[in-house]
Amino acid sequence: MTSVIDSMLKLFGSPQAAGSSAVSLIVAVVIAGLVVFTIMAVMAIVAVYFERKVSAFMQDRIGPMEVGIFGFKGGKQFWGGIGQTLADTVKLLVKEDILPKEADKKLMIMAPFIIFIASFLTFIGVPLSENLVVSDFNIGIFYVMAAGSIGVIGIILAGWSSNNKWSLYGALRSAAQIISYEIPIGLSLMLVVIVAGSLNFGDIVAWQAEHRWFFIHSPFAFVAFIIYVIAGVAETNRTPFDIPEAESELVAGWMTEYSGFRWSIFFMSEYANVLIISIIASVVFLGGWLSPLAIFGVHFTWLEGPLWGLFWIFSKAVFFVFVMMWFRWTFPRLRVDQLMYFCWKVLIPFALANIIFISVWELIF
Amino acid sequence: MGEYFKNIYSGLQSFVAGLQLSLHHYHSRKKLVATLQYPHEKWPVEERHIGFDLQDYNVVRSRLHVDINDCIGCNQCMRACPVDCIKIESVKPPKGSEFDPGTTSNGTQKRMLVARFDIDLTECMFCNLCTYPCPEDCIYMVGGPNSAKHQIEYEYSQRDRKDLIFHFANPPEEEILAAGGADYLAKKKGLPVPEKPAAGVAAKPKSTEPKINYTPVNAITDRMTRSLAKKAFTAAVRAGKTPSETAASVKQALEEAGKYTSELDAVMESIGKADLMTQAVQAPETKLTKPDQGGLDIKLLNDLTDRMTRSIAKKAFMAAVREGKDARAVADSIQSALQAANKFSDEVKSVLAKLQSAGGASAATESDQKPASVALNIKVLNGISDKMTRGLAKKTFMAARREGKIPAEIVTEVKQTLEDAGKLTPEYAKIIDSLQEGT
Repeated sequence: MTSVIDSMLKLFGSPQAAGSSAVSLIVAVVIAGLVVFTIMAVMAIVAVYFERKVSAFMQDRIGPMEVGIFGFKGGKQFWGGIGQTLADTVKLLVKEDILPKEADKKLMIMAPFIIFIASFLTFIGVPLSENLVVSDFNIGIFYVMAAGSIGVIGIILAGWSSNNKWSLYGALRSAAQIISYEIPIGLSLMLVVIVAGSLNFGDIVAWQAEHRWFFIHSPFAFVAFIIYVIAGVAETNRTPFDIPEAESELVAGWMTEYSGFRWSIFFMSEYANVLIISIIASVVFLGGWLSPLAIFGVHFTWLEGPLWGLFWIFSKAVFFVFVMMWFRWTFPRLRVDQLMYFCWKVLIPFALANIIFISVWELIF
Repeated sequence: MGEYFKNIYSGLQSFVAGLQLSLHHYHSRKKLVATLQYPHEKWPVEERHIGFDLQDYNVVRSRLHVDINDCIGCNQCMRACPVDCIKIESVKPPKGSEFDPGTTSNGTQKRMLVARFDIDLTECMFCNLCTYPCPEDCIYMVGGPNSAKHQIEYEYSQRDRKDLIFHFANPPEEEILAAGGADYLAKKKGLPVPEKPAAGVAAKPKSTEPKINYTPVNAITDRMTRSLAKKAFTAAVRAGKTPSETAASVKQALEEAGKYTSELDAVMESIGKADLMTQAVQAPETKLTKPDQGGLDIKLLNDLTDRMTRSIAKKAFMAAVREGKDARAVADSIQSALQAANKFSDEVKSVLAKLQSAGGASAATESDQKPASVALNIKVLNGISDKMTRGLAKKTFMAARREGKIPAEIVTEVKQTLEDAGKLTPEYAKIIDSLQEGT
């Protein structure tokens, strides 16, 4: 598996001139960065629409129905208000830039970018298809976990610099929550690493192609899969684990004092994190870019290749995004103590037990 | 430990149950969706009622509607409206015209073409007062008891506020022209009205209303003094004072204002001698008897004691008179109306007999009489440039005119109001004075 940066460098660069290789490195990085940024932005716009529609349907409403794109409105069903989030985006971007007078302005301006950089950096290690990853680390899972944790610094900065009690409460809750839930995520991914024997996403998918997808690998792997999904939802600060935002308690948590463009960056990062968690879940547990038909022993050569890989990986990711929304619009928010109880007393013991059992399982089979 | 696993088990159970529930709603959304996309879709409207058996109550919060084909342009609804939200303009075909405005569904021959019938529903307060005087029942609130004529409407909202002014009469221009409405059309378009010899229109007879005689006061040369004097004079005359008392009060008013000079002694004297009214306040009852009632006096019907009976009788009376019936026929129609309403009694009979005998004597004479004071043209006031001042002036003007004051008095009053408001400049005073000159 080769990364996009490497192949682009090979494409542009001539090994003779040292100067031109520096230029081609910059070009390759900029192109890859733009692609990642586009994915994040499009994801935010599409996911917000998706979320509004899904929540509406689950609550017997119909969601946005009035705004179309260039006069196109999709009728009474799902695409009825297709232009709504585009209009909302424009609204957000042209909003007045507000910084509270007593806020720590430097930190407050910096915080959204730290959060954004965290999800942006995470995306670099996330595979989008076979041989389609910005940079292919041999410690991919570890990198993604590590880069994803940077965001919590931005959250604490945002909460502190806003000089607002709601923001600070939200930031502290968020820090506690994200740090806690990284443990079950790490433990459940570690199970996969133990079985596959590699931290590299390509190797893990190759293992699944050879044997079977991880979520049906063993009962323990299935439990790990469940733990990963639940902890992943908590990691993205979404309902039912949205106590850092907790509209009814903390106004908007650490985002209370943010509006307009800065707030839209938060939003973009949040949905990018949703997508990252979903893609990793589909890569690690659902066979990544492998066709689901392969489970049943059906192999079509025309159903394979990088583009089909992209299609499959995104179908699986969209399914996970839907599951996250499904959770969000089904369950009420947990209390702070319930949240901690759930993490430390339920998820972590089960994840630890899982690792012991899977080791025994590996020894036996 | 057992408690712990039980908790986890029940947690998983409720987890799955919750997900099932929301997925069920997601999947059967077509059946379950409760949203109605309001401007595009509407619930079927139900008749309103307030829960007990009072059918007429139904009309109160409805919308006014006019069956314009039945409208005879009598302007009664316009006059009844407390907020002046109805505007009617009608064109009367000149005598000898071939134009036939048609008949109403009650069979009444229409006399004129209703060229404009606007109801401004932004101002309408749904009091329903305009519907009662309508002789043809052509203006009414939709729905309720009138739902046979016009269904109740879902709502009265419009995209534009302008659209809340409903234009019920929209006759084509040719029709207005055929009815002899060339002047009307020209006025509507803001063109100058073609000058016409007064041949077609009967000269307006002077008002029978008694006027205050200002001749003695007008002898005062100084304008300020004159206006003060006039004001005091008018007040005194209204109060019914005798000439000498009037002179005294005028004098007093002028002295208070520091305007009284010895030159005015002669004027005061002449006030003391003069007739205060050009016509004495004689028999105002004759004035109230409208000439178009064919000489019949509707007041005779006031002898009816029962209120319902009286109103039915009066309505029938008006309808019959409007159709040009003679006294006997009028009495007959009142009788039949009352019989239909099961209100006919001996008392009614005697009243009707009186009516017949009273009406039979006098012949129906028709004449257009208008109070002369309306001759002032409010448009003159448009010369006042300041908006506030103009509004104040117009307001005072209208109020004074409505009280039936004479031109000179109106002018005085307008000026006085402006002066009180500190808005009167010599320029404006000239404009207001020109009001009187224009007549």
